[in-house]
Parts: sequence; structure tokens; C-alpha cells
Amino acid sequence: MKKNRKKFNRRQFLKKLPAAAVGVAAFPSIVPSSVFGKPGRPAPSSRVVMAGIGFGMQGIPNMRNFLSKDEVEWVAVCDLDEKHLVEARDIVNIEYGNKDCAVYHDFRKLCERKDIDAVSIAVPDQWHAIVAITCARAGFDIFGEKPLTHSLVEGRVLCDAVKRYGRIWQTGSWQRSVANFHQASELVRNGRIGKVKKIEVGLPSGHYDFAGTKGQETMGPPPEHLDYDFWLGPAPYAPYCPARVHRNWRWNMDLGGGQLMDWVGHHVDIAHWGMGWDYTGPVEVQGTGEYTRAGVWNSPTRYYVETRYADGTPMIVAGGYPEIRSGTKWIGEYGWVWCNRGGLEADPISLLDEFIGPDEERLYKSRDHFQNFLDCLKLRKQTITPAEVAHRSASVGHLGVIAIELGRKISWDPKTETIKGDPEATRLLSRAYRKPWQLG
Amino acid sequence: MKTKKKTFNSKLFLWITLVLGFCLLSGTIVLDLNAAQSGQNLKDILKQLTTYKQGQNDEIILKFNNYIRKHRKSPESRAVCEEELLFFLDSDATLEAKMEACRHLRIIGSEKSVPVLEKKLLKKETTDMARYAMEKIPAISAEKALLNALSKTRGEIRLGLISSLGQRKVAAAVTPLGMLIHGSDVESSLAAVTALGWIATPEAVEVLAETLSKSTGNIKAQTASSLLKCAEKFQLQEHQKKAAEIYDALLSADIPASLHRAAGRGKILTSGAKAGLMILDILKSGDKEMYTPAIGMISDDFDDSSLKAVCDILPELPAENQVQLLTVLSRFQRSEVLSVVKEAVKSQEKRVRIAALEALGSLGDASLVNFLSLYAAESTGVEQSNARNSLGNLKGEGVDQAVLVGLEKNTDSQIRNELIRCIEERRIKEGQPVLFAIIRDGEPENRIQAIKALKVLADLSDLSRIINIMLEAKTEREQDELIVTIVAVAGKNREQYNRGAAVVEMLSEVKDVKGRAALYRTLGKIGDDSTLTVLRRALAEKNEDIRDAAVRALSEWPTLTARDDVFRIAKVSDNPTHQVLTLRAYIRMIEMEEFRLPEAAVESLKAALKIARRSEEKKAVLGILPKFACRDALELAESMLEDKDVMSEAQAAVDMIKARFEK
Repeated sequence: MKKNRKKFNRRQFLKKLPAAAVGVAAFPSIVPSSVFGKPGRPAPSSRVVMAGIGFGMQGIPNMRNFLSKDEVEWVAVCDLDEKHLVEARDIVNIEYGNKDCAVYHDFRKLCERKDIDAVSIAVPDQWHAIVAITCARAGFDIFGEKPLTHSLVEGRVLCDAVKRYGRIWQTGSWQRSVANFHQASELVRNGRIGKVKKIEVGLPSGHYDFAGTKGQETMGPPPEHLDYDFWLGPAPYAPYCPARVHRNWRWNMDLGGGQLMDWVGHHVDIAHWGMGWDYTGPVEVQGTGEYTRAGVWNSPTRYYVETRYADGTPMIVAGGYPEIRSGTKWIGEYGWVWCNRGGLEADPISLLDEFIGPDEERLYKSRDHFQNFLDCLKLRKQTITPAEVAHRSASVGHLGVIAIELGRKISWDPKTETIKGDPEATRLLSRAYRKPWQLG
Repeated sequence: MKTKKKTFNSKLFLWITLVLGFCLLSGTIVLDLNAAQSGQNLKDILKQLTTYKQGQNDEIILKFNNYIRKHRKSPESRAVCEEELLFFLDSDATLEAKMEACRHLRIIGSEKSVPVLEKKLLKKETTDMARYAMEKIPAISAEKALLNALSKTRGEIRLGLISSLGQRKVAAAVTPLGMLIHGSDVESSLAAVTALGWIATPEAVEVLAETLSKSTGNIKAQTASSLLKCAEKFQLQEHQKKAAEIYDALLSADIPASLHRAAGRGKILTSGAKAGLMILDILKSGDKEMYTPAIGMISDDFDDSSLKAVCDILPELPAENQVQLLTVLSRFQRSEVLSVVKEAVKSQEKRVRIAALEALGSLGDASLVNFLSLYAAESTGVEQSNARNSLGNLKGEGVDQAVLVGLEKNTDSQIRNELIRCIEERRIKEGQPVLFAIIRDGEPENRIQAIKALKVLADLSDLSRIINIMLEAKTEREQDELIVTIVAVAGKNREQYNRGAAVVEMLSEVKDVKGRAALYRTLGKIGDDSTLTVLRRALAEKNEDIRDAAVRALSEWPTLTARDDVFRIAKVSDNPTHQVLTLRAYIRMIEMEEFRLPEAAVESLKAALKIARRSEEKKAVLGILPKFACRDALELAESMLEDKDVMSEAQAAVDMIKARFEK
């Protein structure tokens, strides 16, 4: 299939044509190459025209996944770092064997295009809400990274926007599309361990150096290829240093939320799935965190968040506590189920042979997170991790961050999404944006 | 602090306790002594913070944050902290230091903070930090300060103020924001329109509605977006009529398609009992742009007549919308829906058929078993897999029974295969005797399918029976398939070292060579380490076929435990096939131990190379050598660069090992 794509790209095709035929083939130059049916590929009417925003880390693998789908026609890339932009553009152009991929510096310009069906967004957390809401309003369906947003209020606003504009949203919480997580959640949902007494969610701790920039905190002018002021966006101003930006921004609380927020959209998402808590949240949250590091990487390195849900079930979310095993563990009356990437265990072990019959509660099944998005986009059907679901798992992290910051228990009303009886905590539900940015 | 603690004498502690206890008991408002002391300590910290620059003296931030976090718990100590922070904001501290103070004022700032922060709103360097704190201070004076500043500035500073007024939903800002809309500064106009969407009072809506009728381009689009938010707020407040008016205004305005669709969606939502009729009207209107949002609004509380009408309209819609509608309809377990979906399976459009088949899985019952099994038998690709999935998903009593009856009555082997597959998919335990009967007497095609189904359905108690069937298998293909089934069923045994027991037991009964060879092969695939001795004994048997079977079984052994066995055979065997099979197995087993000491693994690979007689095995060694990148691995790969049969593989291994070193 790939070879066919390269063999029959429009420009090469025109070059190979005899002179007389070129006249026949000389379409107006404004006709995009995407309208030309390629051998073995879906007709233009059933293709999904896509673009990407943000290629510093997850954007590239996400795009590669989409590029592997024949129905996808990738037409544009957008990034504030020239290097990332060129890298992303070249991947697309090499894939298609042409030079058609458009590049954008400003996502708002990309959103003016009328030919795009969907975007894949993988920008730093402080940008999640603004970029995604702009894209939703432009009428794009969205594959967006977790955590859904940088604050709880933004999460609600984003969910409302996705609903308002009737957009299909898939969150990068891909664990739902993996068999062992599905099986574990289905066992719990169908009462195979009886009433769940407690949930333990183990997340990573510390700060992982994704970009090899650990300790590079000498402030200075940003590199020319990066539009740093734009990159900071709505976050409070801070001078440039390599440790603050690409990949490692997540360790700074103005830009990300540390390991807790980075992972809450994975293992807490699964915990919610098993419990049927996709559209709710805890009613109480308290936590402790260790702020051991001064400087740019200022997120807690170790944390322990205790939550309680409306039915009284407690859930612990912790990083750096070996007694809380990495992954999601539901402990019930008759046993427990644990799952993590590549792992599924249960006690009694016979639980793993349990079959969930057609008349039981079978959970949404997807075995390809990216294909699920594309399928749902055509069917206008909810994906396996829609925005609201991602918002609810992120909420646990946001509330944990607030509880850690304040050092006290927070009462949360998951229905009205308000903190009860704690005006100080309420102030932490959102942040003022740096000028000129505004939540749309 | 530590020195103080050390010298803290017990008498003083007693005094403090007595005084505090007295004050608490007497109910007087106590000046928080700790807080007062803290204030003094905070002063010290703030003094150090004055020159703070990120990346230079970050440690002070930790001290500062920890101090405030510790001392903001009581109102009294919070007030002391606030006072000190405000004093600090007016000092000549660095901007970065002041921002750190504002982070805490965001949480503890009160009305007292407003005058200090207000002064900073108008300066480019300090406006963001001031708003960072002030946007969250719950005081009317904070709103007034933001409003006052609005009229005194322009450009980006003003944009920030507008954003904060919007986020605070300051009703008093409607008029000044309204005035900004029609000014010459487009950015401010857009920001004001956005902010009014957050404020969303009836007055804000009035301004926005007027703007909608007078503006163009981006401002018009942003106005529409803000009006949508206002309408949603009204809906939440149960003001459906007001919301509907907004949607009407938007629907008649010239706005971008996505906003138009959103207005249409809102209009349906506010139509109450008439929503069904409205959706029908849209679907009949020919306004195709609105079809998708309208279909998305078909709700679970639709009355029967509306649902029936929607079903009737299905075939008239464009294929794309039929697909969407079928997906929506799959939620409704009603007979009229089922019949229309079943009809859609006959559509000329493949994508419609696919969607209909998927919907049947949610909607259908036992009555669909024959229909779906026939469809699955006659189709291919996605249609076939959707039909199969739906057959597996059918709900309700009688489905399993219908599958078994179907299997009994149908003679078409394709349909029977689909039904056997369904028995497996639905884990119909009652179907197991039927499967055994098919394996015994059925058509060849169905026998294979039934053997496959047993992998899932059979349990350990069935193992001996399946082994017996395997020994009497009618064809080699069936025997191979049965061995796979035996391995799968044996794997269900949680006792790892007991998985091969049933096969070993059978070996004591079976005398014929062919049968014994099949059993040895089976043992090799099960890989129960406790049965290795059985295979070792078989290697010594006189019969060549038995020895061959044992060698092949060891070559397939799935764990590392057989490593020495296969190596020994590879070293001494004069049978070229056995030598190759066991040597390959040896190399595979070395590869399996990925966490072994690399030098030790390389030593094993050297041994493999020594006895390798063909370039294929040498290449296999070179292929895995980079996994154990170490000095020895590099030397081994380099030593093979001169071997013309494998020089390119050796070079690749050298390059990969070096690359791993660099990494």
C-alpha cells in the first residue's frame, strides 16, 4: 500500500506523462492532491483529512499511527518550534512521496482551513484548553492528549465546547484499547470480585528526564527556532531555559502537573472504567506531596492522594509508595484484580478465566485507539475515551494537586463540579491567563 | 530555627501553654503568638527572596513556599502572611520574586490586597502577576479595581483585564465591554465579545445580540460563539425560552457552519416535547448540513411515533447519514427499529450494510440467529466480522438455544461453521457435546472448526478425551489442530509442572510409534519442564521415529530449561536436520534470556558458532548478538567480518553494538 502511494503521487505522475498528456492532466494548481484517488485507497469522500498541532513529543507517534491508516490524508502540521515543524512535515512528505504538507506556526491560522476533518493535538498542558476549544469551534474532530486540561475549570469548558459543536473527541488514554485493561475493568464492573472495598492506583514518582535537559536551568535567550513567548502562552511568564521546555515542561506546575497529572489519565482512567465512574468523581480528596526540588522542575516528586467516592469506596492514588503497586488494583469482597501495561493479575487466579457473557455488562471494545477515533468520526459515535471521561479522570488529579497544596481534605460535588465550603480551594480550580490569552 | 528549638527551654514552653490555655478558656480572641513569630521569620525569608532570579537562588522558593503553606491555615497567621506579602510587593524586589508572592496571594489574598495589586494592574511588567492574584480574590473591590483599570489602558494589558473580568463574570463590566466592541482595536473587540459570553447576563446577551446583527467576520463568529454559551447558561437555569430566542437569532444569522450547527443543536434541545418533530423536519428539509447534528440529538426519551417516523426516513437519507442514524438507533430496543435496521442490511451501500449489521448486535434477539449466521457465511471482510460479532453479542433468553438448534437443523457447512464459531464466542457450555459429536462424525470443514472451538470451551477434565481423539485423528491437519487444542487446554492448568501429566499418562498406555510420536510432539509444545525427563528417555529409544519426535519436541520447547538438551544434540548429532533444529532452538533460547550477563550470553553464542555448519545459523547468532552488547560481543562480531558468507550481517551487528554503546 505504502509503495503504491509513493509510486502514484501526483507530481511524479505528471513528470512521467508524455508532454501531450500533461496538458490534459494540467489541473488548476489550487486543486489539492487529496482529491486524487490513489490506487487501493478509499475514495476522497470517505477519507479523513487530518492535521496535527504540537510535535515535541507525543505528536509524532500519534501522527505516525494515523499515517498508517489508509483512510487518513494528512495535510498540515503546526508547531511553534521550527525544528519540530520541519521534522513533522518531512515525515508526512516522505510518507506520501510529495511536498504537499502545509506548515503552520499559529494554530489559529490552521483553524481557518475548511478542508480539515480532524486534528491530533499534543501540546503542553497549559495550551490544551485554548487550542482544543478553538479547533472544536472550527468544526474539527479531535484526538487530544491527556490530561484533558491544565485546570478543572478548563476541563468543564472544554467538555461543553466539544458537546456544543458536536465534535468527536478521543483522548490519548490508549490503555482502554488494550485487552488486559479491558478484561480487568470488565471483571470488576461485573462484580467478579464482589463489592469493591478499595482501589489502589500506583503512578510513577520523581521527574523523568525525557529530553536530557535535567539541570539545564541557566536562564537565557530562547533558541531562534522556538517562539518561546507564544509557547508559554497563557502560563505565567518565566525566562527561557532548556529544562523548562520540550518534553520536560510537565515537571513545572505552571505548564504541567508532574507525574500525578501526567499519569492520572491512564491508571485512574482505568480505575474509573472498572467502577462505572466515567461520569462522576470523588466526593472527598486529601493528600500529601513532597516538594523536594527548587527550580524549574517544581512538581511534587512523591505524593499520596486519598479519595472517597459517593458510595463510600476509597481510592488511593500514589507515586513513590512501593506498597501501592504501579497500575490499577481493585480490592473487593471476594478477591482483587490488578492491571498495568503488559500485566493482568487476580486473586483468585481463576478470575482470569471468567467469561463475561452477552447478557452481562460488556464494556466498550476497541483494540486500536486510533482506528476507534476514525471509525467514530464517520459514525458520529462516541469514542472509547470521550472528553467527559477524560475530564473525570483528570479531575481526580486536579483535586489531588489542590489538596496537596492546601494540606487539607477537600469536599467535592462531582455533579455541580464545585468544592464545598472551602473558598480557598475553590480559587485553585483555575488560573488567570497571561495576556493576551483568554479562554474562549 | 534549629538553634532556637534546641535552646527552647521547658519553662518558656510551659508559660506559653498556660497563656494559650488561659486565653482559649476565657474565650478571648488571642493574638496568634506563633503567627507573630512567623511574621518575623517571613520577613527574613522575604529579605532573601528580594533578589530572587530563577535559576540562581531557587532554594529560597522552597523555604518561602513551605513557610506560607505551613502558616496560612489560621485566619490570623494568614493575615500576617498577607500583610508581609503586600509589603513585599511594594518593595524593590525582583519581578520574579513578586510573582512568587502573587502566587500565594491568589490563595490567601483578601480585600486588603486589592489596593496594592490594583497599582500593578496598569504596568506591563506587573499586570499579569497582579491579575494572577486578583482574579481569585473574592471581593467586590477586586472587580471594581479591574473595571477601573480597564478604562485606563489599552493593548495587551487591556486584553488581560478583559479576560479576568470575563472569568470573574463581572456583571458590571457589560457596558464598558460593550463600548469596547465597537472600537477600533479589533483584538479588544474580540476579547470583549468573548468575556461577555462568560458573563452571560441578560444585559450581556442584549449587547451580543446587537453585535451579531451589526458585525462581520471574526467578531461576528466570536459573538455567535459567546451567544451559544449564554444560551447554554440560560438552559441550565431553566430559561428555555430565552435560550431558544438566542438559538433562533443565530440560526438566521450568517455565521460559520460549525456555529450554525451548534445553534441548531441548541434549538432542538430547547424544544422539549417538540424535539422529535423538529428533528424530523430537519431530516426532511434537504439542509444536509444540519442532518448530522439533528441525528445526534435523537434522545432516549423519544416517543414511539417520533421514533417510528425517524425509522421511516432512514432510507431517504444520504448514506453517510444513514450510517450515523443506524448507530444512534442501535440504542433503542424496539421492534420497529429492529425491522428497519434489518432492512438496511440489504442496502446497496456497503457502509450502510456494515453499520446495520453492527446495530443488530445491540438490538437483536434469538430471532436473528439464523439471519446473522447465514449473512456471516455468505459475506467476507468487515461485513462478515460485523455479522459474527453481532451474533456473539445478541442478548436475551433463548439465543444460545437458537444457536444449538440452528446447528442441529442446518446442513450447509459454512453456516454450521458460523454457528460453531458462535458457540465458542458465546462460551455455550451446552454446545460442548455437539462439538465432540461433530469432531467424531461431522464434515471435515466443521471438524476443524469444532476442534478450534474446544480450545476455549474445554477444560482440564476434557483433556484425556481430546488426547484420545488426537491419537485417532482422521487427517494430519486435524491432528495438528488437536495438538494445538490440547496445548491450550493444558495451559489452563495453574500448576505449571502438571500441565503435561495427562499426556505422560497416555504415553504409558499407547504403544504404537505414530501415536507415541504425536504425544512427544505435544509434550514439546506444552513445555512442562517436569516432563523433560520423559523426552530425554525417548532420545535413547531404539526406534528412529520416536527419537526424531523427541528431538523435534525438544527443539520446540518453549522455556529455557531445555537449553542444555538441545545444545548437546546439536553438538553430537550426525543427523543434519536434527543438528539444525536443535542449534536453532539453542540460539532461540539464548535470546530468550535478555537479562543475562551479556558476556555469559556471548560465551554461549560463541559455542553455538563453533558447531554451526551453515551460514544461516551463523547469521542467526549475529542477529541476536547486539542484544547482548558488550566488548566480547563486539569482538565476536568483528571476528566474523572476514567471513564472506556473513560479512554484511557481521558488519550490521558491529554497527548496532557500537550504536548501543553510544546510547
